[in-house]
Amino acid sequence: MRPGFIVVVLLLFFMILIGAPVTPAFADSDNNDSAPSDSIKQWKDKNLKKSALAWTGSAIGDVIYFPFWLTFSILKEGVTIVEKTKIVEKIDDLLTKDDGTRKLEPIISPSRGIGGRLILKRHGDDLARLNLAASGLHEGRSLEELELADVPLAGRALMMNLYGFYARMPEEPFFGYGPHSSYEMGSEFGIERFGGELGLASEVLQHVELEGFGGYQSTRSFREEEEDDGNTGDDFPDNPLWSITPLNTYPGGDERVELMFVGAGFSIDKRNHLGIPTKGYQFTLTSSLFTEVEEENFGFLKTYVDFRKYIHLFYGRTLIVRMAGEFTDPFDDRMIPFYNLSEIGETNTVRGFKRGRFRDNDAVYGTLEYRVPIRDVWQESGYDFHVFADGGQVASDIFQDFTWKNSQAGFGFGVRTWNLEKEALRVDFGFCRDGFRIYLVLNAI
Amino acid sequence: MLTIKQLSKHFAGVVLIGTVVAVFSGCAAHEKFIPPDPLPSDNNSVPTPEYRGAPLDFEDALDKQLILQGDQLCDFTRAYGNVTDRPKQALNLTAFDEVPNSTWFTNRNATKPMSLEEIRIGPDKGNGPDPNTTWIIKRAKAEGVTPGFHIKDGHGDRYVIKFDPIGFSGLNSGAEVVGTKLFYAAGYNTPENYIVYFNPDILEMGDGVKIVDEKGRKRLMTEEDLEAILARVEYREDGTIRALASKYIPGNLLGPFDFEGVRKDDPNDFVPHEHRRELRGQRIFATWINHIDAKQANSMDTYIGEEGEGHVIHYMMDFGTTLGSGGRGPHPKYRGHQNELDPHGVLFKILTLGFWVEDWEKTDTVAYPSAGRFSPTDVDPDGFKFIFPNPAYDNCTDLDGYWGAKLVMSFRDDQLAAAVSTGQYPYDAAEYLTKTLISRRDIIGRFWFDRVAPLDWFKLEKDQENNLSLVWTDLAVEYNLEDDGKTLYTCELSMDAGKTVFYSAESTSGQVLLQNIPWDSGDQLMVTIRLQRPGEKEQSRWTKVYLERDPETGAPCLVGLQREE
Repeated sequence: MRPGFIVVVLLLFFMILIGAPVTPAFADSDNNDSAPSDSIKQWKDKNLKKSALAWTGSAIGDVIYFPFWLTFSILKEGVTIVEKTKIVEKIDDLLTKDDGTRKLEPIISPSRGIGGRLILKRHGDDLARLNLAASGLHEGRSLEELELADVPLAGRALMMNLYGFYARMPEEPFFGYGPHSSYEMGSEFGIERFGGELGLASEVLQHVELEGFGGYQSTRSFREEEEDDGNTGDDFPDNPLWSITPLNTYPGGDERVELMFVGAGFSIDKRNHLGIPTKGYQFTLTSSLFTEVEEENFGFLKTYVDFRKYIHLFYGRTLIVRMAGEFTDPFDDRMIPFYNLSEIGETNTVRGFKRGRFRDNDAVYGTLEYRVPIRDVWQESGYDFHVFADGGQVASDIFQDFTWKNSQAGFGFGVRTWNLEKEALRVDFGFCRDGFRIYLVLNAI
Repeated sequence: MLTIKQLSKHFAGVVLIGTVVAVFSGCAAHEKFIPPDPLPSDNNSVPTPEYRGAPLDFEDALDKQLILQGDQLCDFTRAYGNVTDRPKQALNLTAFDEVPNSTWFTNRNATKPMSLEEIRIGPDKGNGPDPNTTWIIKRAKAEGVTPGFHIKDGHGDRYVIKFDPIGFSGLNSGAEVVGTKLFYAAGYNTPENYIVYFNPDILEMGDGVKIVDEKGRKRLMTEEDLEAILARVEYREDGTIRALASKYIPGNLLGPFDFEGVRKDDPNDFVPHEHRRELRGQRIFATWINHIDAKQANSMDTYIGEEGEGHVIHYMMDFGTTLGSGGRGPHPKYRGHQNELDPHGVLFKILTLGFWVEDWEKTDTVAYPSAGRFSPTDVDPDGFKFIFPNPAYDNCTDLDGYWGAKLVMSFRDDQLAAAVSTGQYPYDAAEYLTKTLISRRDIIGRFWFDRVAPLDWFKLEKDQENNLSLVWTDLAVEYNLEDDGKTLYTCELSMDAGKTVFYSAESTSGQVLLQNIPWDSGDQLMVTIRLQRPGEKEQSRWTKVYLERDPETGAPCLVGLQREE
C-alpha cells in the first residue's frame, strides 16, 4: 500500500474524529438522543442521505480544504478567546481610567522602536497633561521622555510645554556626506543624548499657533564596538567608512557636545478632519539657533519648513502634496555636529531609504500621496489604502547646488487606520534604489 | 502509434468519466413527476433543548467570511451543481414548489392578502408597555452607541427598551417596527415591537440590576448609570422620550438558530437550515427592506409548552438596522454593497487604485434623518451583500429567489403605506419610505420574474360548455409589471413525460383548453408553458404542470409543477 494512501486515510479518519467538515453535513441530525418520529426518520432517510459519489466529491474538497480550515479555525478560536475573555478591555481597564485621568497607549515607530506612552491628567482638567513615554526593543535603542504639556498660563492665553528626554541609540547608520554617499560605505555609530526644552505657545488665531522655545541638549557619539555590550550592529558589521575616515574626524564625532538652543515656530492647521483629511492644509515653520555651551566650536541655525496640502479628487480619493525642507547653516565659522545635519531617509522624508541615508547641511523633499478610502464608518473610524512617491535631495547649500540629477526617489504603497483624533496605525512598503523597507507607525505624534 | 493497451486505457478512462458525469447529472430526464412526500410535522412534543448562546460578532464574521466561503469553494459536489445549473434545491417544498406552514413560517400575505388593519397589527397582541405605570429596570446595557435596558411595566410584562441615535429620532425605532410588520406579514415569526413615548420619571431601578459597561464590565447599576444612559438619548419637546419596546418572546428562550445545519437536540429540526426555502428565499426579502444584519445573533428559538410537551418555534428579530437605519445613524454607503470584511471588494479597490468608482460611492440618499440612507433605485436584486455572508442565503437558487420575490411582490402599495405608518415617522419621511419600498419591490420583482417564468396560482376551470381549461396567473401582469394581454403563452400538452405530444397552443390569456386528449386514469398529463414578452426574441424558461385523474372519481386534478431553473 502506498504511503500517500495511508496518509489520506489517516487524515480522513482524523478529520472525522475531530468533526472536521468531511463529516457529512447532515450527519448531525442523526445523532439525536431523542428518537424522532417515524415520519421524520423516513423523510431524513429519503432526503438527506448523500450518494457515494456526492459524498466523495465533498470529501475530496474537504481534504484539500483541511489545512485552510485548520488555519482559519485556529484564527477564529484565538479571536473568540480574546473576545470572550475580554482581555483587551481588561488590560485597557487596568491601564486607563474612565474619567480620562490615566491612559496608556502603545507606540511603534522606526525612530522610537516599540514602547508605550502613559498620559496622566488632573481630574476635570481638559488641558494640562503629563506624558511619560518609553520605547526601545529595536536596534538596541532606549528612549525615555517626560512631557508636561499644554499647561495653561495667563488665563489660557499661553500654553506651556516642558519636555525632557534621554535617548541611547547604539546602531545609527552613517553613509557619509552629500547626495552621492554610497550605501556600501554604510557604517554604524552610537548616540547617547539627553536634554530638556521649555516652550510657550499661543493660538493667536483659530488654527494658527505661535510658539517660542529654548533648551539644552547634550550628545555623545561613539563607535559601537567601544561599548561594553560587544554588539557590532546587524546592518553594517564591517563599518567600512570608519576605516577610511574614522568617526573622530567628523565634527562632533566620538566626543560629547553640549548645545543650548532657542527658537520660534509658527503653524497653521486647516485640515477638515484629523484622521482622514480630504481638504485643507497644514503649514509648519520652526527656526532654532544652536550654540555650544562654554565652547565656540559648534553653532548653527536650523530651520524646518513643512507644507501639506490635501486635495479632494473624487469620492473621498485624496491627493496629498507635501513640500518640506530642513536647512542647517553654521555661523561664525563654527561647525555642525554630523548627527545634527539635515537628512533624508525614513518615514518622514523619502520612504524606501534607511534612516540617515543622505546627510548634509540642507535637505528638501516632497511627497505625492494618493489615498483611497476602503472603509469609512460614520467618519469616526476607518482605514484606507495609499500609494506614494517621495523625492528629495541633500546639499551643502540647496539654493546653489540643487540639481535634479542629485535627487533621490522612493515610491510604494501602504495602509493606514484612522479615528476621530488622528492617524492611528500606518504601514508603508517603500521601494528605492537601495531596496525595500517596511515602516510601521502606531500612535506616533 | 498508440498500442491497444494504451487505447484500452484511454477508452476505460472515457467510460469512467462518462459514468461519473451521467450519475452526477442524473440520467432520468424523462421520468414521471412524483410529488415530494409531505413534510412531516415539526411541532411534535419534544424535550426542551439546551440554551445556546449567540456567537460573538468577530467569531461569526470569521466563520462566515472565511471558513464558510472556503468550505463552499471546496465542496466539489456543490460546485458541480452550480456550474451545471443544477444546484441543490430546497428540501422543504410542496408539489407546487411552495413552503408548507411550519414552526418556521406561516403563509400569510402571499397566499391570502392581509387587510390593512392586519398589516398594521402584525404580531402585536397588545399596545406595548403602559407609560402610565412605573417601569422597573431589570437589566441595562451601556456598551455600544445606542444604549438600552430591560424593563417590567406595571402589568408585569417585560420589554427591551432601545433608543434612537441623537439627531435621528425615529430612525432605529421606526425601522424596527416597520421591519417587524413586513417580516410578519411575509410569514415569519417575529416579536411584538412597539414605539413608545414615555416620561423618564416612570423609570425605577430594580433590585440588584446589573449593567454591562463600555469596557464589558458587569456590575451593579447605579442611578448615575441611568442618568448617563438617558443623557445619550433625544428628548421631545414635552419632555418624553421616543423609544422602541420589544416584548420578550414568549416561552423558554433557547438562543438563536444557525442558518446552517440543524439544532442537534431538537428532533423536530430535521431540515438543514441552509436548505429551507423560507430561509434561502429570505435573502430576497431582506434585500428588499435592507436587512443587512440578517445573521444568527438576530434570530431566536423558543420552547413553547410544558416541559416535554412543547416544541420549538423559530423567530426572526432585531430589525433595527433595516430600511435606512444603520444603528448608529444612517447606513454607511457601502452597506448592501460590501460585507463588513469584504476581501473581494477591498482587493478590487486596491488593484484598481480606486479609479473604478462604484455606483454606491456616488449616491447619497439620506433624504430625511428619520428615514436614513435607503435608496429607491440603488438595489441589486441578486448581488446585495449582508454584513456577513449567510449560509442559507448563499444557497439561494433562482427558484428560491423567485419564491422570495413572490413574498416581496405580494405587498400592495396601500399595504406598504400601512406598514410604514406603524413606524410613526414624520409625513415626508413616511411618504419617502413608502415610495422607496414600492420602487425597490418593483425592481426586485422585475428581476426575479424575468429570471423564472412567473406563472402561478394554477387551477382547473370549466367553462359554460363544460370545456376544461388549465388556468394560471402571470404574476408580472398581476402585479402590474407587465401589460395584460400582450404576453404570448405557448403551451404543449403531452403525456409519458413528454414522449407523446398531443398538441401545442398559443394564447395571450393565461389558460389552455384540455380537450381531445385520450387521458386515462393512471396517465399523467404534462402541460409545458413558456411565455414571451412583447419585444423579446426568446421564450422564457418552462413551467411544467402535471395533472392526473382522481383514481376514485376520475376527475382531473393538479398533481404538482416544476420550473426550469
